[in-house]
Amino acid sequence: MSGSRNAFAVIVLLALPLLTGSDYLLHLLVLCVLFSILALSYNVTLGYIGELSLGHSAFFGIGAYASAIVSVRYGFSFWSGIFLGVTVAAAVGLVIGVATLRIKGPQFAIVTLGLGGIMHLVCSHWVGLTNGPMGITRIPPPTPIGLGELVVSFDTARSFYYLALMFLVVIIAICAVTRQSRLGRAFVSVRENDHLAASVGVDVFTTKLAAFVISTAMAGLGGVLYAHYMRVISPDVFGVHYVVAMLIMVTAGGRGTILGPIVGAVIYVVLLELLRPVGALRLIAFGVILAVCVIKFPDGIVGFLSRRNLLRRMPSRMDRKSAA
Amino acid sequence: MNIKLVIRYLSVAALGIAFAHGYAFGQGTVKIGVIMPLSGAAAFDGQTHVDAAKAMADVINARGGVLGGRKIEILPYDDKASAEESVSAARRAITNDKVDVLVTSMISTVALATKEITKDRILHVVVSAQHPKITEEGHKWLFRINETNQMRADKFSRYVCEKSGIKRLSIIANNDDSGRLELGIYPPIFEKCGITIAGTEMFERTANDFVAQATKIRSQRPDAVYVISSQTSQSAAIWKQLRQMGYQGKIVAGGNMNPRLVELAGTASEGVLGVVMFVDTIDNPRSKAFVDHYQKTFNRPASHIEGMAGQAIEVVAEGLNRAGSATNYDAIAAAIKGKPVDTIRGPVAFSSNGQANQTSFIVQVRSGKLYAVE
Amino acid sequence: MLDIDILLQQVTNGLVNGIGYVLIALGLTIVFGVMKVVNFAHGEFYMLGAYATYIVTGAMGTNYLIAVPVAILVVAAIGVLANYVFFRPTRSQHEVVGLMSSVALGLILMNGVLFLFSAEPKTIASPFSDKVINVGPVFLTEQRLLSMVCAAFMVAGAWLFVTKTRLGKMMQATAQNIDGASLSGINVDRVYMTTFALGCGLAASAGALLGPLVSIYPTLGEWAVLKAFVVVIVGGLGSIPGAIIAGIALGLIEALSAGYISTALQDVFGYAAIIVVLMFMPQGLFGRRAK
Repeated sequence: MSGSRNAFAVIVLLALPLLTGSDYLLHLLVLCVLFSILALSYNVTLGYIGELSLGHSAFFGIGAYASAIVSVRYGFSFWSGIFLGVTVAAAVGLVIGVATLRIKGPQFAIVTLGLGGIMHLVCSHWVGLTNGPMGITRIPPPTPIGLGELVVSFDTARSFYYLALMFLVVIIAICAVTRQSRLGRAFVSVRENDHLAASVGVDVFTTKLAAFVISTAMAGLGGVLYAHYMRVISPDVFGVHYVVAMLIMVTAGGRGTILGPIVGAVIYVVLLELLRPVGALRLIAFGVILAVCVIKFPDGIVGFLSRRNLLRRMPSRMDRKSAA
Repeated sequence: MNIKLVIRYLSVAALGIAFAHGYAFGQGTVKIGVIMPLSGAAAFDGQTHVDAAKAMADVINARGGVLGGRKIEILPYDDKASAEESVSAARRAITNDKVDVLVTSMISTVALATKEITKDRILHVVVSAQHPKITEEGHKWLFRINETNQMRADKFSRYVCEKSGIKRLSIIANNDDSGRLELGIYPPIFEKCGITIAGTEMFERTANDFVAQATKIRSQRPDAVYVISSQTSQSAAIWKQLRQMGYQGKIVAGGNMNPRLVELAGTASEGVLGVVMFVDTIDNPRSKAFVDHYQKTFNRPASHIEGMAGQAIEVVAEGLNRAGSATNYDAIAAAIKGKPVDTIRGPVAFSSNGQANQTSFIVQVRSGKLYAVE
Repeated sequence: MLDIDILLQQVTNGLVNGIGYVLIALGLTIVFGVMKVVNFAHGEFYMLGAYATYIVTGAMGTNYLIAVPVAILVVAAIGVLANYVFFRPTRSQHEVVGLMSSVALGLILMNGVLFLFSAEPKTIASPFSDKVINVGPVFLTEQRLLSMVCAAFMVAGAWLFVTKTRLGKMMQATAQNIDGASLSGINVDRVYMTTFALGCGLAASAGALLGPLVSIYPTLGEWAVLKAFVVVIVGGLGSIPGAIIAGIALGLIEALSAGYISTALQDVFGYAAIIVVLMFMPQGLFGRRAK
């Protein structure tokens, strides 16, 4: 994206929470940011290297629990929690990546589903560490920052929004820089045709592992933020529900792009809320809209728009097909 | 692209969305937001809460409503058994739909998250979630109708220890917050009164086959099995499969007990001991009016969940009436805590942290019906 | 000290459950083998089979044994429609698109049933569900025995269909090489439609047979689809013998580990089995080696 468009977007994002005093809308804004981070993390695995991981919520959960446990039980600050959550999620991601990334096809998806399922069960049974199904309550909000006389605290939705937005910007920057780099090009080559990539000297396994670890670290970050915003977490954060949410956000938004997962996240959060007045038909309506979206726009909304050259994005297999 | 134009357009759109949500319902009604799981595995029990709340609202409205003639309106919200959905729903209810009171939560972790955002904002009555921390770490406008796991354990375990004649007990428990809490509470109490715990088996929220557990329990040869299960369909399956696998001892049911469960379990329900917070045989006019109306409207007898949900609405109505306002939460809270509230179970007092001082009835199933034994 | 009675009981429990898992998983593995689609809504067709049986026995008062085949046919028909709307348009896309489509389908089916029938658990009126019979020291309900026998028949029937009939051989050809198959004149569209209908019909039969064992409710499919995935992956995607062995093995592992190790971690053993098998045999027990 060009510089002036970036600046414009930043201004709008900074201004949004000032346009409303509604606690409800501010809460939705925070959820949009948090889910964007989650969607972008998932996009690195699904969009950049094309691997369908169905256990990704585990890393979200690991981040959330790591930070929650140390801040509630040992009084660590939020910032240590971030460091710990990201590191532990990345470390576990490394181990799982090494163990599973050589498995090809749908078997990879199901192995990751199984591993996610095991971590969910461990979280819900290891009561000594995680408090099991009772969850961890009274997680403190992020530690206030003192800037001289001014103390910025983060216990309201509006203030948390700005904090989370800052992290989102960092994540976007990481994605953008990676995309332009040699590693990013390696991602694309591995995704499109790993045999061909190997034949020109790309270390397929290490490339996939790098993407996977980046992806899990980001998910861990998302988890930490979630824990300190909701202030209560339960083993449900390891559940399939979040994996499905991430799948929906990335595929409906547009995998492989940066804007796509963000659009997907916003749609996911806003659509579900907008549909509340429909009452009992809410989830049916959501399913129908999702089906229409997936069938009509298989590359996601952003993918569809960029095909019409309204936006620039990463080259994909579709380009080669239409060029041929 | 004209940036100024787009900024203006976006701001208008954002404001438009903000205002679009601010529609107000008709003035005059007192709006009570009821947030319960209405989809997913807990949907049946969640919907039962909403139905009972509506029935009680009807009964109160027929009697003249609250605050000198205003009617109660129940607005249901689906929390999908998740903390963040419940928080979203609560925020929407408070900010957009402008409810006066919130009545929520079957599940403890959901209640714990939701109470954090009702603090200093709105009157909040938790209906059936049982975790003690809900009131221990609550706030000045928080109330809870159900007994805590600890309160129930104290009463029920005394009955089991002193009156049931059970000497050897196996436990089968759901791996959820309630199950884990009860597993922490009951075995030590039972062991102290001389009951041997022959085994502890567990199952997951999504399980629907229990023959492995039932077989293991049969091999443990207990006098009784204590079943800790909150989902109606799972409880019915457990009782049935215990019998089908040849277990012939007593069955004692912690967790949810209701007529539908008894129906589903068929002959396996005979003689099962359980605990409920309400039985429809209570002899007082408030109870009769509620039970009759509920039966007529929903074609089911009122039981455990219905009683608690109905009481929640009664307590809110009485608090409002005593305080003379729907929004002066300090006054309403003081009024509820000040002296006992008349409910379908008779007068109920609330402690200073909002906990209702009432315990369950111990019931037994005989020929498909629930009878209070204590 | 091993109590033989209890051991036999747990083994029987494992076998009964195992054959149930095979029946649930069979449709999924056939659909994947031929259509290369991971159908997340598979569990919902299981649930629909249970509900269809409930409606036919309840509302229409039909005999259970007649209701089962009727329910299977009805759900297979729904499957044909679902294939046309949800899978046909997404066939040429990346595998995740078909998967998302199936997620949407699952959401619609589950919440549709919730809306139409409410969350209240219902019972299927089968005359076999409560009578207990004793085979030696082992306890079995008639329904369990019936479901085991019928499941075995259905699995055998599906196996014969796929290996012996013309349509079945066309399915195999399409599974092995779709371009080759269509070049040799096979109507791939029709094969896909039949395959999906078969998959849904098998799932529905499992629902119809296992439904009376417990009450039924709209989220029944959640449990079924996870078991099905475990069996399909361990057995090998697209392999019927693999599904049979993996399904029975899973049932036995679960029953024995619950019975002799711990009931709390029952599901862990299922997941662990996937991981162990896939570490050593990434294509599953009988699956085709990946290119």
